Amino acid sequence: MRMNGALTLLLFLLLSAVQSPAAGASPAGAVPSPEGASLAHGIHIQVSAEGGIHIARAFYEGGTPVAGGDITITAPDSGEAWQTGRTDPAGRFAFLPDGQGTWTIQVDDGRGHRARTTVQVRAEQTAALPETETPLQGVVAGSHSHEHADEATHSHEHAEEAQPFSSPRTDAGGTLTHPQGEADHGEGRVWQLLTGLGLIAGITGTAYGYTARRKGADTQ
Amino acid sequence: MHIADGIIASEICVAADAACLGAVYVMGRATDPDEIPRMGFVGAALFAVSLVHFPVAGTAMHLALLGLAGVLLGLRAVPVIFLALLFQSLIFQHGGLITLGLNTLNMSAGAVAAWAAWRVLPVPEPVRAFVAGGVGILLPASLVMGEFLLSGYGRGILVLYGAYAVTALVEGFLTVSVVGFLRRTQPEIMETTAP
Repeated sequence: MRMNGALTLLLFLLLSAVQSPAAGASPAGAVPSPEGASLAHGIHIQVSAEGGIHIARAFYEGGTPVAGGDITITAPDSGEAWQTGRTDPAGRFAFLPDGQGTWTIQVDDGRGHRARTTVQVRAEQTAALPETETPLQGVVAGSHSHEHADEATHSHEHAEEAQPFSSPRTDAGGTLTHPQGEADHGEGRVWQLLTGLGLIAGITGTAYGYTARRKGADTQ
Repeated sequence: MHIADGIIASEICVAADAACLGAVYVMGRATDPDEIPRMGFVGAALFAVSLVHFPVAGTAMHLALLGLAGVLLGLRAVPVIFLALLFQSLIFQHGGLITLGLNTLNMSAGAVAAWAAWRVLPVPEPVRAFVAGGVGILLPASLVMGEFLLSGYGRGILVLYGAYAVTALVEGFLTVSVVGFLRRTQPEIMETTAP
């Protein structure tokens, strides 16, 4: 047989690759860091602040950014999400706290890994942008966990420069919380899974029909 | 075990991509229509199974079913693994797109080794199935760790070997039970292991 199933598969793959810009190019300013996403599973969150802008950076043990992770910002003394969004391809998410106190940041990669950390926001670091830059930092690790997010509430006074944003990405912005925010998440995963399975089924069927036709043509 | 983009030097990744496409072509060449549904099923299983995590020794692992793919598909596992990884990368951002070739080669090595063990070892079938299941995960894990070490990554990752060993046990038993099940219910599937 000259043509074959594998070629057909490849064609489809290329087509799907073209249509899905999601996974491609690594962002400028990405933190160079090793690690396979599924090789080490703990997620860590670092927070840096410059002016009133706080930047959370989520990465797996070893440094791979948690790209596209669901991030939830919770204001001090509030049980509800203050802001939700997704981390950018470099695992970053920027937010502007509007009050001082202990803010909570939680990142969930949607694959069973979650981390939570807190950051102390001082009055001069709130969204009323001060004139002077105050690099502060509450670093440290939300410890990894599975179902139960361990709370790492230690925030060290430990300065770290904010990562410069060199290219804004469309998916990097936060969206204001809306009631469905939490519920959407699990459902999205299921749809993604179904999408993939549907694509595989479609490719399988197409490849089957194609190879069967070739075979029929060959035997005639 | 998926390597993300940005770890391994890009020249190596591109070379691996080229080698991977070549391997996918060669291993998928002249596929018989009768093989396609099985490939599709295994591909769907490979794609979906990586989302099911379970806790092992303080970290989270997921099954890969590479050994089973090798046993059921032989060398045809290579294009199937490529397809499954491609969709994992595109849809779940699980593994990089540039490293797709490298990931495919790593995991295909596991499947092909499993297939070889399944075919060659002079031991009873359940034992071969168990070895195939274990090899299917341990060989890719070793390759990935080797690549990380060569890329200047610390030795700390070797700790994960323990978790992979546990996963390999699970995969081994799973492969034994699936093979046993198929042998009882659909013996012809086991006979048509091509090529």
